Amino acid sequence: MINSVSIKKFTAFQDIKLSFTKGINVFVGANSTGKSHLLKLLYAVTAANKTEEIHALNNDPTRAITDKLNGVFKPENKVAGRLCRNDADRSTIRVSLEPERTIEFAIASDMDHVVVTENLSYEKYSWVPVFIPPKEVLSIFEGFSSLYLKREITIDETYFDLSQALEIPLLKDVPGEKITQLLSMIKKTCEGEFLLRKNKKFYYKSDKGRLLEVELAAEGFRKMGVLQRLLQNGHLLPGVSGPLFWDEPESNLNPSIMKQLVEILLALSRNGQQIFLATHDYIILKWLDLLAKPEDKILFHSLFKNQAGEIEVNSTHDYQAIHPNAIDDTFADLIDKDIEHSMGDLGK
Amino acid sequence: MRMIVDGFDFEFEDAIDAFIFDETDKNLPNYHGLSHSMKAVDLIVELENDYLFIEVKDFHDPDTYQVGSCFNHLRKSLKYKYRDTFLYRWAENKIDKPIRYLCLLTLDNALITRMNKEIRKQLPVGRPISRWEQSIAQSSVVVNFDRWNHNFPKWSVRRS
Repeated sequence: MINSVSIKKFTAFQDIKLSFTKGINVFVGANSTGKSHLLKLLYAVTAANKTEEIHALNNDPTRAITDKLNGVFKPENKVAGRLCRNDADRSTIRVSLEPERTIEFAIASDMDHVVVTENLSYEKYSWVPVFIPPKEVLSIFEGFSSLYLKREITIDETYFDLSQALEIPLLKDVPGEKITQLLSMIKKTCEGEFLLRKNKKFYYKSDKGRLLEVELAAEGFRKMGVLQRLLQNGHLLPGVSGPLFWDEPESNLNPSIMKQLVEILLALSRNGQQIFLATHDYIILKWLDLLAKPEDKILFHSLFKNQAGEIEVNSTHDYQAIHPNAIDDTFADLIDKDIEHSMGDLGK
Repeated sequence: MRMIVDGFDFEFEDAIDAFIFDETDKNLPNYHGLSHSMKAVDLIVELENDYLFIEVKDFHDPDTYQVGSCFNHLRKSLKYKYRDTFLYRWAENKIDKPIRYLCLLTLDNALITRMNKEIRKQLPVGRPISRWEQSIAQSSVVVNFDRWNHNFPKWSVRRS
């Protein structure tokens, strides 16, 4: 799991530190407060040391981290230095991992690679993370991996990594009763299941037995289908795999299945899965608040810009104490306009 | 004009009159007297050109109102409080200005938005059909503590 991160002068951040729970971490905030950048940075750091380069280069993670940052953030001409803040010569990232692993690296704005400044057994951190990006992947799966490898395309590496993970064959046996229960929850939500056939295309098989091309299945179901596949092939194995990062899980998901989505996330978390979400959605937040049991570990991180325009964070376990709450503020604006319509100048 | 209701302390700067409508003390001039058969809003405020019917609810556990049955119960309660108050005031011959219904509830902004829509439909607000020559409610707004103070600085409220 990831314990904490400290970021200085990286992309939009000036100086920010966050500590995480081993349960569900939820990033909320207005646009351009760095939610997706945080997810991607944490993913890049936890995914980089899985590459073969790190071992080929005598456990020196320099190249592996540089390549992963380039793949995930796509700086122009693969110059990692472009990820420094505009006004900075150098940025520094420090990530503390469990158990007792630390990696700290710096990026100079005029360099094309990172410089590792502290490495406490980083190469021994072996938990493989999963990143689910905002756009649905099952329908572009066919041929996507080979296209990504052969051509320069603007889609970032999180999509490629997820495609690779989806391609892993199924386990012969579902690993345990808890995973079976999770799969059953997903199947109920999707009213069917997704299958990868020998022609390397995904299909949707409804509970009524009808087989459809994946493009014809509801987009919200397809997002759940990704979880289903990753659990079936063991790439996502609560308690064993690395963190699950999910950027805007609500996109293209019907609000009526948000409750099931949150139930599934809570079930994953209760089975030892560390989760990081970035969301703009009130319904997800509220269901997390309503469905969580006292023993569930949920930490809300509210990212916001202070008066100087710098990004800060307030973290709280209490839904009511999320401050500022950009989602709630949006509802407040609606209410204010509505009152103006109904009451005119009365009470002003 | 200062009024204290259900833990909320109001100050109505521009009120001509304000009183507890569901008064239960027989010795007071505004004693309701029909609470066994008619529901009642908490407060009535008279302004120069309008009346305000105000209902206040400070919930111990606002989350229970996310659940459909509790939400529906609250909606019905707010509707009948208004309608019975309207009838009572009609019988008093006090429907001489447009009436605006304000519900101060300790709910979050998203739930407030939903309740606003429901109450307007249920009262109903305005003249929903062409046969009506007049409305029973000019307008209705559901607000929480923060939105009240933001939108109604002349009617400030604080927790007593």
